[in-house]
This record gives sequence, structure tokens and C-alpha cells, in this order.
Amino acid sequence: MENDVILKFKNVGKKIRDRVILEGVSFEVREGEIFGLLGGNGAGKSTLIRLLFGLVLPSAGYFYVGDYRCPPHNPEAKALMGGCLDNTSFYGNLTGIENITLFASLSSCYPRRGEIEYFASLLGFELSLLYKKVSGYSQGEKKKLSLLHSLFPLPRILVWDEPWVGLDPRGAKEVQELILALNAEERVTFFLSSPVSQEVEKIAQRAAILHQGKIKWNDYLTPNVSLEEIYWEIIERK
Amino acid sequence: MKAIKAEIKKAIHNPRFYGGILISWALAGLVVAQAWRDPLSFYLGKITLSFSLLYPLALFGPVGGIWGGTENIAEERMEGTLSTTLLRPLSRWEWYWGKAGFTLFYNLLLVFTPLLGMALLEKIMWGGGFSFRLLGGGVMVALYISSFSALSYLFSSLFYRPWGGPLLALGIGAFSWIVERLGGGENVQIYLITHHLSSFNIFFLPRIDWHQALSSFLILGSYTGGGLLIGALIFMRQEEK
Repeated sequence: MENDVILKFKNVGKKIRDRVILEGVSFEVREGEIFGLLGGNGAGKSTLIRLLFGLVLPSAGYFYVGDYRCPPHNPEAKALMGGCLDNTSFYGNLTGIENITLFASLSSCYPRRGEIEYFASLLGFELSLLYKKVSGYSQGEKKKLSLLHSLFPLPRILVWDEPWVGLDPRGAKEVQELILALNAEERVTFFLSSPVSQEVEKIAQRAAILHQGKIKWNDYLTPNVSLEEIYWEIIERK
Repeated sequence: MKAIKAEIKKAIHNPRFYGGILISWALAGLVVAQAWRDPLSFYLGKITLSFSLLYPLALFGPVGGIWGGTENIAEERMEGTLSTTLLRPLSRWEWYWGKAGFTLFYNLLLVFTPLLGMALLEKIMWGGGFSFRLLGGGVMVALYISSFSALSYLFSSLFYRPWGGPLLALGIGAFSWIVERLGGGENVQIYLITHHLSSFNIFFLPRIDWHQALSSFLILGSYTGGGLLIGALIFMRQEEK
């Protein structure tokens, strides 16, 4: 694999019974970039992210995470990534901080309270909430917790599925600022999915459009490129 | 090891974990109450308190073992916490055996914490104590409970609803019990799970029948090992959509 490519999909396909979810998906994400995957509901974004973590298996093709070819999935490949699913769930009878330390321990990471509180404050996550049971969290608070938990340990690639969904405009802005800060200061690569083009445009350096399970467009984002226009063109083309 | 440690952390915060142990201690309390009420029958029958506890543990323990099963795969899958866990550098195999390992450990706790308490009480009262026979009987009961847990795991790995596995495991237990009550076919009966409900008795006969003890261990061990292994193989082939 080329030196700076950290994620590479090669003809990845996924079929569930007769339904084609993904077909011939090929693209790559380079180390240190913010990559946005744009697609409408049911386009296959979440399935592609689940594939990365081995939650579902591809029916065709393969992909690389760093130097690890998957499938078969190995823990070393997953150790390079931190993930947040569109509906990440936590143990309701545990507090936010207990959930974070529990899941982090599975990555052999034992963060200090101060570290967790630091990142929580960057996300605009109310610190007192960390010590309350997750069963009492709102949708937006759960979303922030799912983003927060993926930061321990801080991985080389953060794969976030629809990170802005369920957040108010202020929360969405805080998430954007955190992405930019981690990318600039820690050189964390981001692979973000979103159904909204403006969010991707604001933050990503490169993007791909996934429509009906196929990659329809994949390029750098420049001020001359309107992702929304390209997206509508693809949808209306049918 | 990471997976087992995580299971322990979760259990510490789970009231069900303490509920199961509390019930096994309540059974011990009932045995003590019975001995208090009717000490002569215990004395004449040369029955120890700890031995008397093994039968209720074997009778009600499977419910606890299966109850633990409701906490396993299907519930985590339905709640979505299984997917969150698998985002971590942990294989499905490792996760499954971490959970199963904890369940087996929990079954040992269910049996041996009240049993040790009872043996200690006996030592204080009459100078008896924990014996090799009690250890053998306890392991047999723990294995009997674990065979139900394993069935619960096997069926739970098939379903996306938490009660499917436990209900089927209980169903198999009930079926085995009915077939046994119908009688006949000693060669077949020995393979029925409920046939080994009282196998702990082997260790309290004046002379231990090692052949019978070994066959009970093997059959219950096969239920436990086989159930867990088949469950693991099914689980390995599944996806989290």
C-alpha cells in the first residue's frame, strides 16, 4: 500500500439476501486528512463503517486498515481505529465515566479522570453528566458520549458515523472544532459520514459520494467545488 | 482476559449479580432453619448442613444459571452494547469466551459461597468442616448448573431476543425431566441432563463409586463444553447489523 494511505477499500460489496447494500466500493483515505463520506439514508454509509470494524463481513472485495488486510479481521487493525456508530449504545446502569473506562479497558487503555474531563469539556459535555447513569441521558448527550468514548485511547483514525446527528447547532460546532483541533495538533485522520453536504463541506479536505451502494464521486474539495450541487446532480441523474 | 475483566466490572454494578448470590444464601438460611426446627432427623440421618444445601442448590441453581444467560449475547445484541464492544480490538471469539468464562466462575460462586459458609458454621458448632467429599459434590452441582448455562448460551447466540435462549434451555430441562419421569431405558436416561440432578450424592455414599462419578462429570461436562462450543461457532458466523 502507498505510504500515506491508511484506509483503502477495494471493490467492496455487501449483499443481504438479494438486496445489494454496497457494490464495487473502492476509494482510499490518506493519513492525516479529514475525509467525508456523503450519502442519503440507505446509501450504505453505516454498513461500510460496520464493515471496517468487522461487525458485518463483505460479500466481495477487501480493504486495508494501515497494513492489515481485512477480512479476516484482526484486533491489530481495529486497534488503529476509534469508532462511533450512528447509534452507539452504552450500559444504562453505569455512569458515563464508568462506560468510558470500561470500553477503554478493552483497548488496554486506562484513562485518568482528568483526561476524560478535558476531552469532555472540549466537546461541550457537561462534566456532572459524566457521573450520572447513562439511562438518564438525552439523545444528544448519548451522541456526545459515543464520540467521547472513541477518543480513549486516541487512535490514528477516527471513524465517526454521522457525528452531528442529534446535536444542536452549538454541539455540532463544538464537534467540528474538536475534529479540526485533533487533526491539526495530533494528526488524527478522520473518516466521517454524513447525510448533509454542508457539514462535510465545512470540514473535510476530501470527500466521496455514496449513492445506492456505489461510489459516484470522489475528489478533493476546493472552494470551486459545490458538494451539494454534485450530490443533487447524481441523485437527479438516476 | 480483558473480556473477563470487563464482565467483572459490569457485574459489580449489576443488582442481578448480587441477587443470584443472595438467593443461594437464602437457600442456606432455609436449610439452617429446617435443622433448627428438626435437629433430630439431621442427627439420626447423620446429615450435615452443607450436604443438605446441595440438593436445593442443584434444584434451583439452573434457574440462576439460565437467568445469567439472559444477560448474555442476545441482550447485549438487542441493547446494541455488543456492537460498541466490538468496535474495540477484541475478536468475537475473545468476547464470547470472556462472557462464558465469567458465567462459569459465577456458577462456582453461586454454589461455593453458601457451601463454604455452611461448612464454616459446622466447624464452629461441631468441629466438622470442609471435606474432599463436599468439594466433589459442590463441583458436581456447579457443573450441573453450568450445563444449563451452556444451553442458554447456545440458544441465546441464535436469537436476537434475550428470552429465547433461556426459555429454550428451560424447555430442554423440562423435556428431560418428563422423559425421565416416564421411566424405562436406563441406557438413554443417563444422557438426560436432569438425570444428574442428584449426582452429587455419589460423593456422600460410604464408598464413592468413581465410575459413576466420572460418567456424570463427563456427561455434564459434554453438555457444558459442547453447548458453549457450538454457541461460539454459531456466534462467530453472525453479523451485527
